[in-house]
Amino acid sequence: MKSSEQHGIFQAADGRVKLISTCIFVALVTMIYSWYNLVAVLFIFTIELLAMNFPIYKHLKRLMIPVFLVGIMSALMGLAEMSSGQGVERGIILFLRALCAVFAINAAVSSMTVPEVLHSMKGLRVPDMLVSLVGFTLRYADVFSKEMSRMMTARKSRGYSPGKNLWHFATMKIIGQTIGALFLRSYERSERIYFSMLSRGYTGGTMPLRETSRIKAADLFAGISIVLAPAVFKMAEMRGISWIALLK
Amino acid sequence: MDCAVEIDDLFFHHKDGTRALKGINLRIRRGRRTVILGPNGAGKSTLLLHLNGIYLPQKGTVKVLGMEVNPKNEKKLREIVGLVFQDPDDQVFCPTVWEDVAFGPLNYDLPEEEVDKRVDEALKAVRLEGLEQKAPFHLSYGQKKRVAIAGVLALKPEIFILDEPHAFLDPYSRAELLKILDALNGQGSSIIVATHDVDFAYEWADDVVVMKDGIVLASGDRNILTDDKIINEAELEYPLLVKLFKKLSEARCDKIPASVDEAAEFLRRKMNGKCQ
Repeated sequence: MKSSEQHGIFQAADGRVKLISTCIFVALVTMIYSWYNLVAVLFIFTIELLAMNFPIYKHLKRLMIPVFLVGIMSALMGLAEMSSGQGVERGIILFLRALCAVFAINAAVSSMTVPEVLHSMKGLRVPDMLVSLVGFTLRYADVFSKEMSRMMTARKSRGYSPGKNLWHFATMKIIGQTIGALFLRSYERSERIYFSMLSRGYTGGTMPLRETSRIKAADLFAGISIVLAPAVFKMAEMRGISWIALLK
Repeated sequence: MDCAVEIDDLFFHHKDGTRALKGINLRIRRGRRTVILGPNGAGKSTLLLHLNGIYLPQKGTVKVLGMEVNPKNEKKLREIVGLVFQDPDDQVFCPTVWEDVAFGPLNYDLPEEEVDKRVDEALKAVRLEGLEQKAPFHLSYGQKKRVAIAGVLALKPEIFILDEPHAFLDPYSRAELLKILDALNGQGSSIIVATHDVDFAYEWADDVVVMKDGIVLASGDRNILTDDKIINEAELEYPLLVKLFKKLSEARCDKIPASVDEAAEFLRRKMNGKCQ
């Protein structure tokens, strides 16, 4: 999630536009069948982000773990399809589709603050209960991770050191106890949060959120830029046009 | 006596069977700064939760500004009694500061302009203007505490209740908090603070209530904190000033000073007298 001031066009664009265009982008790339079109989409999308002053290098660092996982999944898929003789190509296509999707989702989410995500969801008429659930989860993820870290520090301060593998019974026991304690603390905290809500006149309903502003032309420009490349390449694919063949 | 709170024979036990309150009888005066003192587990927080109807009396009665606490008027009650919880992370839960402060007024269906006005005033009172669009997890602990207070201020309650307001606050934030409380009291609000900080109670409170094991041991002005019997029975400590002046028997003061300033003035006079 973004935590600093907004910079480029992409980051400053309306959250609703970013979320919708990202969903369309993901849907389109999953329908593209050739690897070279996927590579072109990825390339153009990267160029667009750079043109819109998006801090791409910071973003790439965050992609390392998801890309690693996507790579493993694609390799397994490719291996499973080896018998058909198209395993490598299918594995590559799957990897490129997933890479495009992860890249776009990560770019959209990392360019928004938590309030922006929630306001955008509300603006897109996502059910209030779901928005509240996401809001509470995002708000308290930080509190619980700090609580978890404090518990682990307290354990370490009393000489605890975790085992080096998953078969270390004592470590698993401690991890289990920590998660159990965290669960109980979360339960107790949820009761206190509910009391604090009641004390300010809460009688049901959902988290009140401020109305979102109107969508401007610059927002639409950013949204169209996101979906343009996959839309063009998909249409070209449907009409049997291949830019690789044209190059030859 | 003009009472903000009247409690008669109040009993309460938690779901796990713990008897938290065992027959509380108490009067809290209107427009005063009242501190409820007691060790951990004395029942302070449970008592506070009765004052705006979060907990309802299982036996006995609680009246706030003459209104009996019962399920029928709990919403009205929460508008006149503002409760600030010990941990601001329990209270500040909305995605932005503005939305959190507006949470109370929006629950009372106030018009949009009125909500805006109240949020602006509340944030100004706690000196957090400009942070309206900040997410709570980007704030310091002291700032979150002030957001929690602003959230209560926006409801414009007549009685402010704070549970352990100094917990985990640094000295600067603590001083800032005191300024806010004094300003509110200056505007006529009744302030009730639950704490185990005897120094704070001795220096700040107009009235002090001492609790232990779910009962009220004593109530009165700050001088009850100089009483050996009460302090020992409540398992509290003397405030630092009391401790000092009790040891300085040669100072021969009739009345122990109520603040550091008073103590300094007294000692200055004594020293000047000796030198002359």
